[in-house]
Amino acid sequence: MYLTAYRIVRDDDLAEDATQRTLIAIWQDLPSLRDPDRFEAWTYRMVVRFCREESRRLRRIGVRVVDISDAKLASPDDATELSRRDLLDRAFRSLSHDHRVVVVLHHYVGLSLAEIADVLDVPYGTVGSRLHHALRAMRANIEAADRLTVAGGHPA
Amino acid sequence: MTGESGMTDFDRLVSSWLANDGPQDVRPELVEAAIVGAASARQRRGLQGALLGSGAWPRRRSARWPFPGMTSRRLAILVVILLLAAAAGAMIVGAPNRIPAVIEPDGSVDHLVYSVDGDIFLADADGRNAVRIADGAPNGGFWSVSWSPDGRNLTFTGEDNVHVVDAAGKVVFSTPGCCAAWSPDGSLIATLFAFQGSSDRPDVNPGEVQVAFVGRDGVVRSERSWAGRGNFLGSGVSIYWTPDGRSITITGVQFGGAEAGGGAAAGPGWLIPVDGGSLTRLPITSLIGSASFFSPDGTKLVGQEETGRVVVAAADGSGARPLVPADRVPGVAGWYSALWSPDSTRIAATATTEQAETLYVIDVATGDVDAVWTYPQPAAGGIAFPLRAISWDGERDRLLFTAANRSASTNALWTIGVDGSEPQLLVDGAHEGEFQPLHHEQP
Repeated sequence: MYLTAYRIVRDDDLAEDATQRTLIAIWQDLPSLRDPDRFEAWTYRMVVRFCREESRRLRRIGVRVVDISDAKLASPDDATELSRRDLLDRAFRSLSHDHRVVVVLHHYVGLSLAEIADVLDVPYGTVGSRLHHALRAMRANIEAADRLTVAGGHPA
Repeated sequence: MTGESGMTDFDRLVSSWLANDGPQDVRPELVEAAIVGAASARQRRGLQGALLGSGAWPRRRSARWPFPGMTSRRLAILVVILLLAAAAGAMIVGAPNRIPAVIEPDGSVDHLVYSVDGDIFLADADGRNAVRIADGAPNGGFWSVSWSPDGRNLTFTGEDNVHVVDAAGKVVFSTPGCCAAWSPDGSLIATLFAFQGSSDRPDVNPGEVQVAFVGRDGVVRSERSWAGRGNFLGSGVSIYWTPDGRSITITGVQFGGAEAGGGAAAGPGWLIPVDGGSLTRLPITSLIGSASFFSPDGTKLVGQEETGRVVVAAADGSGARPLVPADRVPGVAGWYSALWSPDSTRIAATATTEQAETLYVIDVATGDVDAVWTYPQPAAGGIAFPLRAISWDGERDRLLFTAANRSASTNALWTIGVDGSEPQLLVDGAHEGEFQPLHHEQP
């Protein structure tokens, strides 16, 4: 849960809070869960919900975190890798919450589009549309940044 | 391009990035962090976080409640009390031990701020009527004094905090950081933390770099961090704003040990847009000990290439050419401490030769140099920067600089005309200082 939450909100503290709130909700509401087979989807739904709420807190204080934990940054290649990860991070952060969720659930958790539709309680086509537009937006954001870098990279 | 699995290369890139860029497992200490609530982010999370943090995690993560005889509610109350006590203690310990200033800010008189043995002093522009406004001894002291562009506030750093005070020395607020820089319009203070090796702070990792943009009201507007094990800045760090106020640059310096001759080399420079844009590595890094990087008009920068060549270049790094042709100042082992004139036409910088340290004023267009001050190298002793220009008073065309004093045991703060005229000793023993701007508006 925490690892998924982190990848949605991109912030340690907010991911911890979202996870804690999810665990509290599970603890309190588990008796109301009728179908044990739906436990995983039910859990992911609460993770998504609390990530959304914690993200609002993120916007209020404007925290941005970029993790380059394994980067060896002593050479130009390392700088390129750092820039690439920074670009991906920035592109991901530009996405809406709904778009982030489908990207993480599909490309990190490994859920199918049908499973995501079940988690989010939205039509299958909506999930496909969100995933398509999210990845297209990320790609466009990265390509735009690349063009800026080629053109000079910083203000004159 | 689409592969056999139906995933595009970009799909795979995103999947790989998500898998590798972020925590790989839940750290055990998160359980403890949950118990003490806001401990891991005490400056960002409030009472709600503390209460939440002391609640469900131990029940979820542990088979047994680790505090027999104590309910979670009692533990939460205890944690809150401890946090409040710690916060109160931090306020007492962290704030400068201020001695009430007698200088009244009237908005018309320029002042001098400087540091001696870790204490911060305010004085008239000629160094007289000094008043100590922060007592830094014996905990390492305060340094990095800097006036806001409008001259109404100044910052200094120490004990892992940036302190913002008014022109009379009264503390306005303090915020975490090891160094700081005012935005050109004075609306923001960029603060920087760079953690080398181990850190006493539980909420940061070795090698982590944190940058925050703080308003004059002390509220953090935005914050970014790079939590890496890589030492991508170097041992010493500096932070500068670009003249348009849209980005900051951060640079590092590698200081060699005694076996390396005590030399220092410029580390890489990085450009960080304030709006959250991508980190960019600069083609040129600032000179060691510099007080500026980009020219005030934003069209040029002075710095050092990876080859060690000291150059002036366009703001995007193009068109680099030597700052000073080799035949103008023979035998130079290195240049440092570059300082732009307010009109962006000249640079004050120090050249080191085997015989002396010399402060030059350099015409940027022609490379012509005027020697302003020379100090014999042997007398410089072990002082890191025996000669360093730190502020350029454009209205009076005078430089504020530090030079090793006669005993060569510490620095002294001097002012001198850019043509070498009328040198004046302001403060003996001062490591650094800065003029309050003359052009600030009435409050």
